[in-house]
This record gives sequence, C-alpha cells and structure tokens, in this order.
Amino acid sequence: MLILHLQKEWREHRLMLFAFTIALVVCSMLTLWIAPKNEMPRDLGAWFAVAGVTLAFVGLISDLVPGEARRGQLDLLRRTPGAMRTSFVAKWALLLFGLIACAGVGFALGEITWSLGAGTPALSDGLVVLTWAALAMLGCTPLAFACSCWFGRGSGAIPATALVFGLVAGVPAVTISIYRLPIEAETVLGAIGWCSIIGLLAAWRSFNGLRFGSRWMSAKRGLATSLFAIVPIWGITGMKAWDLFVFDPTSSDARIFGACLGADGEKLYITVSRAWHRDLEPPMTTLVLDLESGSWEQTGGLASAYLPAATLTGSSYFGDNLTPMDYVLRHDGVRGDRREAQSWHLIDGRDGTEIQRFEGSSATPQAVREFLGFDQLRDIARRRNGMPLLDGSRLSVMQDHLVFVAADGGTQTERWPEGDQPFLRCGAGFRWLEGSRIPDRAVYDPNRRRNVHLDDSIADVVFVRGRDWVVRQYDAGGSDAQTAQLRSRLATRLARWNPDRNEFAPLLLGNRLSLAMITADQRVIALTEDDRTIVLYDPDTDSATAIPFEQEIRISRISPANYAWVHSPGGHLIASFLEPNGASGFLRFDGESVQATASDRRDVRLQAVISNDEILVLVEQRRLERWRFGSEQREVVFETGG
Amino acid sequence: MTTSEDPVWTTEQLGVRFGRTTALREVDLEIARGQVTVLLGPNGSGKSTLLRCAMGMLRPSAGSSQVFERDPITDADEIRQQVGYVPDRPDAPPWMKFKDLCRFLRGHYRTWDQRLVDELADRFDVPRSTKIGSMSKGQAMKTMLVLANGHRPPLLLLDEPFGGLDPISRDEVCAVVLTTLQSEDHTIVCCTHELELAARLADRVAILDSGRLVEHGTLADVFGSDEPTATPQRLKERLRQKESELTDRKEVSRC
Repeated sequence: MLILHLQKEWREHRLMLFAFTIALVVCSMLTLWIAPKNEMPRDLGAWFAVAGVTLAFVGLISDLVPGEARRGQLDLLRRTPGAMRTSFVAKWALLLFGLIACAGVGFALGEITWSLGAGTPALSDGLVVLTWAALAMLGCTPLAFACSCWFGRGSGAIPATALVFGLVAGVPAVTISIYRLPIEAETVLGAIGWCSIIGLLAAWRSFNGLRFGSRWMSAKRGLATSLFAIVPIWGITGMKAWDLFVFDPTSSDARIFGACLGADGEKLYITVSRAWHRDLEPPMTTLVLDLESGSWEQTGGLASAYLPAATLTGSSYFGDNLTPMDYVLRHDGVRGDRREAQSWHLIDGRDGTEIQRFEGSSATPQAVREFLGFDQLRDIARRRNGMPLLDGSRLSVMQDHLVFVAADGGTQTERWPEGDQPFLRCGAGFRWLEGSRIPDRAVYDPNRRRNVHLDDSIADVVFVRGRDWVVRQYDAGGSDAQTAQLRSRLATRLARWNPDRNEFAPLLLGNRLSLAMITADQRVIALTEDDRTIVLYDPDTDSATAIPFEQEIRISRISPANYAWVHSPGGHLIASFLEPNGASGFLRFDGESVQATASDRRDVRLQAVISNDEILVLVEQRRLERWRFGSEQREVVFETGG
Repeated sequence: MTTSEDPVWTTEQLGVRFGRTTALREVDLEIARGQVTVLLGPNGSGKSTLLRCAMGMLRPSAGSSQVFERDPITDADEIRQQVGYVPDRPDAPPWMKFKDLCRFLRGHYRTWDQRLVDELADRFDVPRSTKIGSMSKGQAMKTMLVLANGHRPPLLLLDEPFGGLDPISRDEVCAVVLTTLQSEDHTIVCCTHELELAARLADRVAILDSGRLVEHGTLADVFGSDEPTATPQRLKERLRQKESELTDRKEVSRC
C-alpha cells in the first residue's frame, strides 16, 4: 500500500525534482561563466547543496499537501480507509528523498564546478555549512510540513513556517543573544531534536485534521501541538534568563570575577556571574558582602559590575585596585559592542549606600569624577595609594612631575629629573627605559630623590615589564640575557632575551638570581630559591647581606608581575610565589624580613590587601578567602558553586 | 445483530456548521437496509454535507450519526470499508488510469473484488487506458461508480452522480446504479437534481431545504403516488409547495 502512495507522490513531483536539478545545473554553469576562478569559495559544494536543499524544501513543502488540496485530490485520501496515514508516510518519504537528493545533486555539481573552475574538491571546507543546513532542515521541516496543511495555497506555507518557527525558536534565540545566555551545544541539539519530534507530531495532527476537510481545524490541531515545542524551549530559556537576573551562589556555574574592599574593611563589593560560557563573555551582576556578619545582598541587575578604583581616579598612577576604597563605582546594563552602561552608581565604600546615580549611556566615570571633585579624588588616591617612602610620605607620579604627600598632608611637587623620559616602576624605584637620555645603569631612587648608579656587576640590570622587577643582564652585544648571583658577583649567561616575547619565566630557574628589586630603603633585594634567603644589596657600600626566611617554604619562582606597586598599609611590598609543586602563595617583604601566606595549587588571585597581616584572595573564581602572612591560616569569607 | 429491517444509517438531531453558516440542522434520518433513498433539495440544501457526515469526512457540530451502528468519526476506517462513495466530481489524480486507480484502491479495501470490478468495467465499457483527466465526465463517473462497488459495500453513497451529464451518459450511469441494485443487496443513498431518475430509482425520498429535513418517506408517502411516470411531475409540485411553505415561514419569523 505504501508503495502505491510512494508511486503516486513520485509521479506527482518528479517533474518538480527534475526542474530543480536543471536549475542547479544552470547555476553551476553560470558560476563557471561569471565567477572569477581565483575567487571561488572552497566550500562551493556545500553552498550548492544548501541551494539544492532550499529549492527542494520550498518546492515540496508548497506542493505536497497544498497541491493535493488545490487539485481536488484530497477527498480521495479522506474517503479511502487508511489512506491518510499511508499518504502521510509517503509524503514524508518523498520530502526526505527530495531534500537529500537535491542536496546531493547540488553538492556534486558544486564540487564539479569547483574542480573545473579552481582546483580540487575540498569537502572538509564545507562541513560546517552542511552541518548547519542539516540542523536547520531537521528542526524546521516537520513544522513546515504542519504549516503547509493549513493553507490552500503553497505560498502561505513558507511565511507561516517562518512565523511559527520564529515563535518557537526566534524568541529564545533573541533572548539568548541579548543576554548571552549560556546555552550549550548539547542543549541546542536537544532543542532541535525536540522541535523535530513535536513538529512531526504537529505535522501528523495537521494532516489528519484535514480529513474533516477544514484547514482551520488542521491549523488548530497543529498549533496546539506546536505549543509543546514552545513550552520546554521557552521554559529553559526563561530559567536561564532568571538565573542571570537572580544570582544563586549555590549554582554550580556561579563564578566570582573580582572583589573590591570598602575603606573601613567592613564591606566587600563582589562582581559575580551566574552563567559561564566558554565562548562568550558572561553577563555579570554585583553583590555586597558584609564581612562581619557574612550576609550578602544582590545590588546590581544584569550586566552590572564594580569597577576598579583606577577607573574612578582616572589614572593608574594614582590608584591601586587592591587597597580599600573610599568610593566604589558600579555600572549597570552594559549593552552592545560599544559597551556603554545605562547607568552609573557612586557607592560609599564604607557602608555601601548609594551616593549618586548617573542615568543614561552618556554618563561616564568622568561625570562621576566631576561630581565628586577631581581634586578630592586625587588627594585620596595620593594619600592612600602613593608609594610609601622612608620618611612616611607617599609618592605619586603625575605626568612629568613627582608629587610627595607628607604624613601631615603637605604636598610637594618636583619635576622629574629628566622631564618626560620613559620609565618603568621597579619595586620602590623607577628604571629608565632604553631610548631615554638617562644612563641605563641608573635607577631613580625616590627616597634619595636622585638617580642611583648601580655597581658594574649589576649595571645592566633592566626591569623588562611595566610591573615586573625581573632583572636581566646584557652582554657586550646587548642581545643576550644573563642573570647575576649577587653574593658571588658571578654573571651567568642564561638565555637569549627576546624583548618581543615579553617572557621572563625561563630565566627564573635553578639557584641563580631570579629577581631583584630596590626596597624602600634603597637596597637591592635579590631572591634565591635553593637556600631560602634574601640577599640585600646596598649600592652605596656595594655590599650584599643575606637575611633568612622565617617560614619553611620552598620557592621555585617569584612572580610579582601582577602585583607590582602593591603594598600593605605599613608599606610592605607584596609579591606572589610559586612552589615547586605548582602551589601559589604570597610574600610580604620589608627591609628585614619576608613572610609568606598559605599556598594553593589552584588558581589564586590577590583581590585586596586588608591589613598589614591579611590579604583577600580569590581561589579558582569560586571562593574569596582571607589569608594571613606568616601563617597557614585561611578563612573562607564567600563561596560559590555549592 | 442487524436484520434486514435494521437501519444502516441513522442521524439524530444532526447539525453541521461551517463558521457562521449552518449547513445542516436537527436532521433526524433513518436509512433502511436494501432501499434506495434519494436526497432531494436545491443547491446548498445540505445533501452533500449529509453524505460526508456518513463517511466521517465532516465532524458534526451537533447531534449524532451512526452508520452500521458505528460512529463515523471514531470508526471512520471501519465504516469506509463498508461504504462506497461516489463524489460529485472525480477526485482521483488526473494522470491515473482506471487500472492505476484500481491498484491504488485495492490496497486499502479488505474485500476488494477485482473480478467484479473487471466485469462491471467490461459491461459498462469503462476505458482502461485513458487517464481520468482525459475522460469525459460520463466516463469518469462510470469509472468512479464501478470502483465504488469494488469492495462490495453494503451501503453506497452517491453524490450527484448524474450532474452535468448528457442524456446518454446519464442513462449509462443510471444503468450502473440499477445493475448494482440488481446484483447486490445494496442500500443506496443518492443525491440528485434529476427528478425523473430519482423517481426511477427511489424507494424513499428525503427532501432537504436550508439544511433541514423537511420530508422523508416512500414515494407514495411524500408524493401521494408511487407511479413512476407520474412522480416527477408530482415531485416538482411538492418541491415548489415546500419551497413556498418555507418562504412563508421565514417571512413570518421575520415579522
């Protein structure tokens, strides 16, 4: 019986399929004739397959059922026992055959065209296009078949399909796109599969609805069934969107982006994301954590974040994102490629109250700065974040001037020794950059307020990255990197230095000098790994002395790169270290001792310096922990992920 | 168990609506086994709609319909195995020939009798190698009639089988119907405008007007005579009379 129906369908649509084949052949010839040979896309076969499948889709969907009704043949099926069921199967068989055959013919013609026009066929280049086309057909075709039953004319079927498919998948797709919802590939495949199954059911109910002769009844049944496709897809999308708006720290994919500490150390301003996607920047939201009680509340909507203090102060020279903040800035509703916020909120860092709200995308940190007063902000930043000097004053750099803020609040401004010569910060000093007129053996010492000329053995020390304190030594040609062991005064050629790579890790090996910096009391500190000692070098006396570690920590690498210029309220410099087993921790230096925190093998990032003895560390973007120097103690203050 | 007196098709308060249009209203009908019932009425009176209800091709909006004591909606396939249906115009694909249509239908009917089909086709000279689209209306209607008998249905529903036929073709189609009547214990329900043919065929007559069943009975009951030659004239008179009654009723209801 099925064969009879298959024969009937084939007999009624074979001309259409032949016509599509001819159309593809004509397209192929036109391509060969018109397209420049060297500009033929390598996936031409795939695009021809898409053209073929599109032709078959539009042609067959418009005629399989509507054509039957238009020709007045539907009554034969309606009045013959079992004919509707068998006809449905036969129509589907022909539809699938037509789609596959036209895709196959199109692909073959495309490959032949490519071969004749440009070179050899390249199947692999078109796999992505073919996969997407196949998925689109899989999700769309059953619903399109259903829609085709609702119209007497085939021309209504395609717009109706677009409408229904847009309703089922378009609304979630737009929601996902706007809010960057974390939809995994498996979920998309599941949704397409679900659409196919429900679409097939809707197709049958629509087609079977025609047995009563009413297209309205067919449409009612088909639409009602299609709702089953909408419910879970909209539901999942809605739940994902809800998860973004309402942060749940117990969710397995909740992440912490970063945290700012309020000025009194009572409030922690945390930027989090509920949903994470490997390819997309996740939408963020914000929380305020009361460090005393441990309670938290969500403060921001979707796409909100707390900004580093440097954004507010307007200059990286005046701020340090790791020190407690008098003001915290939050932006809400960042949208689009221009990343313009819809509102800015100025928060009092001490108690979390909102001082002022700035509406509209035209509002910027500049407007906030103007509101607060730039001079006031600058003074706060200088007092709080300037480089601590031996006499208790703090140093800030402002364009070609140095600003010294005394402990009593008095300000003294001095011009740079050499005007606007380029420099890099290195510990408690400034290293002049290549190209400046300053001799490259000199380091500007802010305590002495003059350039310090280094001893010959370390004269070629350079501080290679803006926030690094790594020492490198050149040979006469200036192209090889060396390290120096300060105690023995032996310079060892280690590796060729390629400044473009900006890489220093290979140099930090073995027991050779791996790190040097100028301390606040103008000595050079060299850290070694094998005997856990620090060598203090005094350029005035050209002497080196060693001080022991107070903790038994074996360090294979010290990497202060990300934390340069970080200091505790008491003026200690802070760096991170890496143990041989891969665990990271933090070191606190002063002129006489080094103390380390606990260490962890996972991803740890310093978030804030709470006090002289405590820092706030983000572990694996999951936990905010309080770590103490000179102790293994660590306390979880906020945790996500259940 | 059904007896020969049992009705093969009954309707109770049957109503069908198409949107705001009422096609059938409160139709109570009983079609007895072995009889020929002719449905008469003007265009749009609901004759075809009534037949389609029996086939389960339309869902009633009110009342019920039972064919062989089955519901045509829920037991549609089973009923269609026992009912032959001839549409008012051929609904087979025009490219099909008689033999194609035979092969197509044969697969759907459990009781298909190809020998009977061949015999009827030979007797009434049905063209076997002509596409249905190329047949004359009379040939196509004969083809549909012959094929409607192919599964030996106890109930045959004919929807305007004589419409638009020339006198010769009409006689030929009528001959097929009469042959069917002679050879099988068929129950036939036939819609037609052809009053003379109706008088020749009918045991009972049902008159529909504006979706209502206004008369149903034997020829003698409805027209006062079962004399075939006199019937058409009386039929016309009766229809005119009914029409004027209905018109008066409508005007009264408007007032």
